[in-house]
Formats: sequence, C-alpha cells, structure tokens
Amino acid sequence: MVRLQLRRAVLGARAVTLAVAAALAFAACNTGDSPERTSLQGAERAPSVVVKSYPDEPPAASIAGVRLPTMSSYWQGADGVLHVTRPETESEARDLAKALPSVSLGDLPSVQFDHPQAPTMMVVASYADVDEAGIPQGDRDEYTLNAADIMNLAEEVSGGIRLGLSIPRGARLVTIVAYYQAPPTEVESNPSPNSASWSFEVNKH
Amino acid sequence: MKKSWHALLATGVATALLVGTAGASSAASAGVDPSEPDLTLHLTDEAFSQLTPSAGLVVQQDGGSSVGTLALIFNGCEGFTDNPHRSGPDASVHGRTRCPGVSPVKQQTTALYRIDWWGDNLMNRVTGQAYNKSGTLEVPVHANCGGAPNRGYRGVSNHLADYNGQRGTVTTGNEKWFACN
Repeated sequence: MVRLQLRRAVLGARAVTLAVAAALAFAACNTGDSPERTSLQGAERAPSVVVKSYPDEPPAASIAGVRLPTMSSYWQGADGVLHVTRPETESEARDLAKALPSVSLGDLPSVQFDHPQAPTMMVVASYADVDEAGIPQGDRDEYTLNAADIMNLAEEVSGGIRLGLSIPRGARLVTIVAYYQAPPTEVESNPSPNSASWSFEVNKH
Repeated sequence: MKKSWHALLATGVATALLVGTAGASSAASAGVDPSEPDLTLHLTDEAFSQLTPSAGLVVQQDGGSSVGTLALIFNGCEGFTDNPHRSGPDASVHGRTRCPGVSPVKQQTTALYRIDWWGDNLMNRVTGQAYNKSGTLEVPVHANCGGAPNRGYRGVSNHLADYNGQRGTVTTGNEKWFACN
C-alpha cells in the first residue's frame, strides 16, 4: 500500500541569482549554433538557463565562517577521470572525526560554497550523539534538497553561493553531502553525478 | 535507525538544469557510439505509473520510507530513481529516464552509495544510453553488500534527454535502509 504525501520545503526563501538556475516545467537551451529549435508540443519557453562553468574539483565549504573539511569526494573533472577521496578504514574515519571543527551556529546557519555552480541535490544529515572518539551514534536525521529547493534557499555571494540550512536543535554532528554535475566529456556526454561531503561538530557552548 | 524527509517541489513543477554551451552538443557529436547496445527496457504505462504519480510528489510506503521522487527533465521527459533494495547478495538501485510519446536521446548515470556518517560511500555507478527509442531507459546498478547489517543505501541518477535541440538534465535520488544478511 502506498500513499502520497506532499510536503513543502519551507526553510526560508531567498533571492536567487545563481549561475545555474532551474527551469520549471520545461526548459530549452541555446546551443549557440542552432538558431532554431523545435519545441515539444504543448511546451512553453522556460527562463534562460546556463551553466557557466563546472567545478573542476570539489568546492570549499564553510559554515559560520569556519572552513569545513572535505570528508569524501567523487569528482570527475574535464579529463573524464573519476577522483575518489574518502576514508577507506574505520581508523581513517576516526581520525577525520577527531579533526572536525566545532562550529557555533547562529539562528540562521548557512553553508557557503566557493563556486558559483549550485549543487543539483543536497543531503543534510545530523546526529544527536557521538561517542568518545567523536563517531556519531544513534538516530540520524536527514533531509534532501532538490534543485528547486536549492534555488529557493541559495543566494549568490562573491565567487560562490550561500544556502540557509535547517539544523536540528539537538544536533551534535552534521554532515552535508552535495551532488553536482560533472562536465560532459568526449566519452560520456551525460554528466555523471559528482559529489562531496563535509562535516562539523556543533558547539553547544 | 534513521528518520528522513524529502524536501519537495510543492507545486508539482519540474526542475530542469540545463547543460550550457560546454555540454550542448548532441550525444552523437560528443563521441558516444550510437551502435552500442542500450539498456532500454519497455515498461507498461501501468507499471510506471505505479512508481511515478506526478512530478513533485513523493510516494511513501506505510512506515514513511520514501519510494522515490520524480523530476521532469523537460515537458514530456522525466527521471526517477527508485528505492535501493537487496537483490541476492547485492544492494541494487534502478534509475529510469522516460519520455513517453517522444523519442529523444536519453542518457543516464546512476550511482549506488552506502550511507556513512561522513558522507556517501560510492559502491558502483553505471551509465546507459538510448538513441531515438521510445520507452524507458532503465539503468540498474548492483554492488555486493553481503553480510552487512541494517544500513542505508542511496541511489542518485543524473538523467539527460536531448530532443530536437532541447537538452535538459535533472538529478534524482532515493534512499532506503535494509540488511544484507
């Protein structure tokens, strides 16, 4: 048995003038070499949408002015090679946990990426408890932002974008995962999902 | 154990992120061999409609697990990533790109991740394409998860459709927790 459920992503809308915009219901792009386009029947013209540039490496992320460590990344640049960075062992993961920055969040925390390309999807996960080694324990809360949500939440800042986030009050550790589109390559014109993650501890004092 | 919710489009709209000039060439001109076998599977409308109610909605099973979100690439083309699930000794997820009524070039890369506290741990990813065929491009991804206790798995797909000069991509994702033992 399935049921439909519709929820509104209300985390606060902000003005968006992103290098990447999302079009609603229909989109068409101008290739620059084909002045004429044929539209699908019944389709409407969408706002102009352009990806200005693809990040060639995971963007730097910061929150409350604190630079966050990149915990993992799967990144395919223009060379078409997938570069993987992640903890390969539990020991490596523990070492990462020990080095996490402690961040004092304000009332309206936001994460800032130093590249103007917006992610196409984000996951914000938080844990209420960590063990002595700083490894999260217990329940995991998470929510997913799709491209339209990101558009609504993001604002352009110098050289990058900033997105307001909703962090649960009891969160001790937060991990943000962002998915991007890899640049098209000669061998794979469909942009593969690049992704990277960043973590921090929430300073309760 | 986890709790999750998906932030959704509330107006039933679709989102299309467009590939700009760098990615605007057709698949053929991008060097992909159209003679390569594609992964197109033809699903009945009934079967697909059970998975995809309409853009911007999430189908939820009783218990709150998300079955999947649907995103429109452009009018007439949509992408979907279904629930990760156990398939024998593997974890598996299927992504679908569907353009009923039109026959564009469809391409899709679907990645399967194991959810860890520090981020998503890539297990496998597969790219499929279909050229000028109707029906649904379905890309299944498998990765061995034998013996793993209850863990979270996430599938993420980038869908592309290219039709008469329209070219759009969307990203869809879905996650599910299950044991592989």
